[in-house]
Amino acid sequence: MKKVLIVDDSAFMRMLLKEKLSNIRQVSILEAANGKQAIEIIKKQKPDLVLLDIILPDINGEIVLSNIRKAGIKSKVIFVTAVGQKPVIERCRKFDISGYILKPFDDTKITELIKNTFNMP
Amino acid sequence: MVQKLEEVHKDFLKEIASIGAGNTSTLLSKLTGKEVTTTISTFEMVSPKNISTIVSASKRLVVVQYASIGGELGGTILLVFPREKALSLLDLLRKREPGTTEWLSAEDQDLLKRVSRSLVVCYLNAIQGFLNARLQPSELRIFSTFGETITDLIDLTLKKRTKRVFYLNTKLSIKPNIGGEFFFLLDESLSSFLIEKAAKMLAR
Repeated sequence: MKKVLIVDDSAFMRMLLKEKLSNIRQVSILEAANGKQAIEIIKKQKPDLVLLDIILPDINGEIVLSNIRKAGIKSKVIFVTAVGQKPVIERCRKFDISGYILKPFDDTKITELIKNTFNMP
Repeated sequence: MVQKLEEVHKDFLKEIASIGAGNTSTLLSKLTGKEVTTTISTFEMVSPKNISTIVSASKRLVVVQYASIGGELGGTILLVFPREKALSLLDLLRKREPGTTEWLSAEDQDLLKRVSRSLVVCYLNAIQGFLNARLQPSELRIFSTFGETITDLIDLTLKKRTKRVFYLNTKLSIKPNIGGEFFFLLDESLSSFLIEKAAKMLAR
């Protein structure tokens, strides 16, 4: 069973992503509504994949990513965000991410990317 | 018919505004070559008579891009720049030294109009894509005003239609001193449409 953490301040977006993940078998879902909560869950639960938003109410997704990488945690990370600015994407890519999906996203594209990340057929 | 919104629907509305603003920040970043920060979007239900006070809260001269929206999602969108921030944005767009632009020349107004029109269109396109809904903005209008003209227009547009509006606000900023705000105002009568839309998206 793969553990996936969804980090988004929007409860609606978390529900939407959960719905998309329900099409993928053998996935259990964790949720965080802000950056600090996300770091705490990642350190304790070591999820296989983190779906991470950039704009969060406390610390942004980039800081969450740098924080967990500094802690030596190698969970795969896919950004799911409306922020598509080149400098932001370039900074995130330096931390070894598995994808960067822009909102509004295509349902099929996000499911495919998650499956590819897990090497699932 | 007006239906009461649950927390998840308010959250859905905030997400709509965040997606619009996030995509707009990408475009503004491309246009200026600078990184653009956006805030978390806020949601409130307010009386139309309070909107003009909120938009022109500072009573400072503002530059506003305005459009009323038809189609499935009727409402009003405003992109507001306090005057001094609009002047700083013009310095950046025209690659001038900061502080050079002191007043809005005809050429500057035209540039600001074109840039803000692109930003509003980008915001609405992103929302259309998210909702898979039809949005038809009216011709965009720019105002450079102490607030009265634009607020009169908002009052006129909104009071005709609804007792309360869904008020969504997101701020964009470029360090050190450039910033603007999106105000997205939706008629309360859209509650059923929004509730249905949110449910459909979750069931897809």
